[in-house]
Amino acid sequence: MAFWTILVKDLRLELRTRESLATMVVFAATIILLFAFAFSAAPAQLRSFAPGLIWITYFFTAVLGLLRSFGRENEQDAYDLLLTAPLDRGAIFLGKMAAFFILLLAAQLVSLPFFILFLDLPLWKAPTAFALILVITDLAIAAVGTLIAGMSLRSPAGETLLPILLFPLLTPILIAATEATDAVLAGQPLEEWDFWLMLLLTFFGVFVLAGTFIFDYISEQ
Amino acid sequence: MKSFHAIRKNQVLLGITLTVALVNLWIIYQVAPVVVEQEMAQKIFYYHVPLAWNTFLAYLVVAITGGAYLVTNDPKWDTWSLAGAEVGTLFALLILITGPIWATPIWGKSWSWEPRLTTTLVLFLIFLGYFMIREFGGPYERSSRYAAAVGIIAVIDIPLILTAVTWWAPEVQSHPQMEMGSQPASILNVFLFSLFSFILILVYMILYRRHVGELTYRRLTQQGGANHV
Amino acid sequence: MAPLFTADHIGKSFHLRPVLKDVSFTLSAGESVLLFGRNGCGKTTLLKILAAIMRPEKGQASLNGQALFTPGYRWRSAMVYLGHRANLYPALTARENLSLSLRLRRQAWDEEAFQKYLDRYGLAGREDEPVRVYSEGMLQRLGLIRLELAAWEIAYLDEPTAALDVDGAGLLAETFRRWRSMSRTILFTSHDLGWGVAQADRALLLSRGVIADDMPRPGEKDLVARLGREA
Repeated sequence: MAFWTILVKDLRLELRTRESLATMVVFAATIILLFAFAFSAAPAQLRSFAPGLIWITYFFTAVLGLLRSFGRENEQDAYDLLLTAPLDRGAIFLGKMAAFFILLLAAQLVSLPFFILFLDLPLWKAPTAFALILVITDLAIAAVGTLIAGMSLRSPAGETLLPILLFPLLTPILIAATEATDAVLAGQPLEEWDFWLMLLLTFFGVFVLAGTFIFDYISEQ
Repeated sequence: MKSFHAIRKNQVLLGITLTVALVNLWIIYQVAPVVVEQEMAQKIFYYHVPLAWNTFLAYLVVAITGGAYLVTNDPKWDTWSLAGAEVGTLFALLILITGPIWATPIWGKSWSWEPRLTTTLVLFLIFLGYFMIREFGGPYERSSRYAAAVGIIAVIDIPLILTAVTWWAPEVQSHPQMEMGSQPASILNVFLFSLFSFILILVYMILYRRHVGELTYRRLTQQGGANHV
Repeated sequence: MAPLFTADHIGKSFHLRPVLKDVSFTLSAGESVLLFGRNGCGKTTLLKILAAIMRPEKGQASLNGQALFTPGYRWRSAMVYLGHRANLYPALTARENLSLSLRLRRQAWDEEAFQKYLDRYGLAGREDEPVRVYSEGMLQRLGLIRLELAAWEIAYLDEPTAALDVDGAGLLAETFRRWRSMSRTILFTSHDLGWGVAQADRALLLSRGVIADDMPRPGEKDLVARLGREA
């Protein structure tokens, strides 16, 4: 119940302002452009880097989304309302995680055409396989991201601490998502790269559990 | 509160630790057989591998005492966590130094993306973040709680990182010398003794650092608070 | 009669500097109690601890015989909190904010009561505007409507009159009377000691980390004199 309330609240806040989605998409497009310039746009070369570029871009985008997700809680101390309410803090974690997952996925889907266009990626050749990677990776990013943001963005130097703490913890995710995307682009069948999906799912499962338990201890000031 | 080395049992521990370490040094260079193709370079494994054990054990201390701190709110557990984190990160740094020292003559390049070495690098970075949230994460009491949570998350992450980097670079084989379990008895026994010596060093260092942490905590509490941040 | 609320030896430090050392007091049902003290004495910290926003390092509290600060969340259902800032989401409308706060408390929406209180607090007709266009005083009034709609036994209010005009302060005084007649308990702070004592059955002086004085039915002059002696 509380989970749904918080999920719906976060999505409604986003739909009302659209600030996260807009900034995330524009940011992703900008980064792709920077990559294209930085790696001089020889299409063949760019394509071999593409899986890595996609996921590094999405990692940065995720940080941007997390900043807004918790920034809203701090504006008028609305987070205090959640803390005082008779609900399990694990539900706050799960609700914010689910809302952030949906937001991240939406931002990625909107910015995907830029990748296809600028990096000349034939992602449409295996849409279901890529969608699967996208969904599972985003779940994993959302779980650890919400957990770390729930701490770092409640502290004074939070905006700088977030990526420093988050990115090393997410290395397994970056590796798995990049390798899986690479395999899909190379046209490999699912059986040859499904272990990456298993790793991503394990990561997600472990950190959803950990977050649900730990969040109560870190949400109070 | 007494200083660490004024306590009798700590003096004994230091004496045993130093003696064992010296004996260990002598065994490694005088008793252990020289591996033909590697000559002296192989000897670094008697340090490198126990260092890895120590890092892992120290971080395990961080996670367990961090959990105890979150649940009980008792600052004594936080001093254990901090001791484990600092000692563990020091050992991690030593792994990152000894790895390339060995790799340079044997493989002709300093860095290889060997899974366990890579995992150590990632862990080292995570723990730099750990110290940052301790320092900049708000009031001491709150940042200690955040640090405890990060320590737990980091240790949970270890097997996932190891799995990911192992699958990521399957062509990078760990060198047969790394697998201590499959070494001849003459090497394995020396290794086990070295491991024992290093675990003594680990215990001594964590106890010492925890004692200093406790003293610092008491001094700051008595003088009415830490002034930084 | 057993007290409704008991706080025992509550302690909290920031950077190892104790703000609250050993805070103990009791409250009876239907009591309105003013918490006063000099700036930085820990009034807000104490209210935030009781409202489960901050975690105390030591101490217990109980409400109706049920222990607070325990794992689980049911102990939070009998209390409400209104902070310096109004605890609202600026992008949501007044109606959405309040219905959210009720859903978080597992309470049903009562449109009739909502309209009644909008009217009483002078926000009628503004309920479907996003609250980012509200002034500070209006936000504070909306925060009070949040408390009116919720079911609770004890409320912690931190400077509820800070942003209110004279009308608003009068309205809140009347609200306090009504709440007390419903046997609801109020613990509040106020920089306006005159207004505060007029609403209070008792005043608790928080000083040097402890409850230094417990003054039944004090006058404003008593408080000022007492604060002067504490300096």
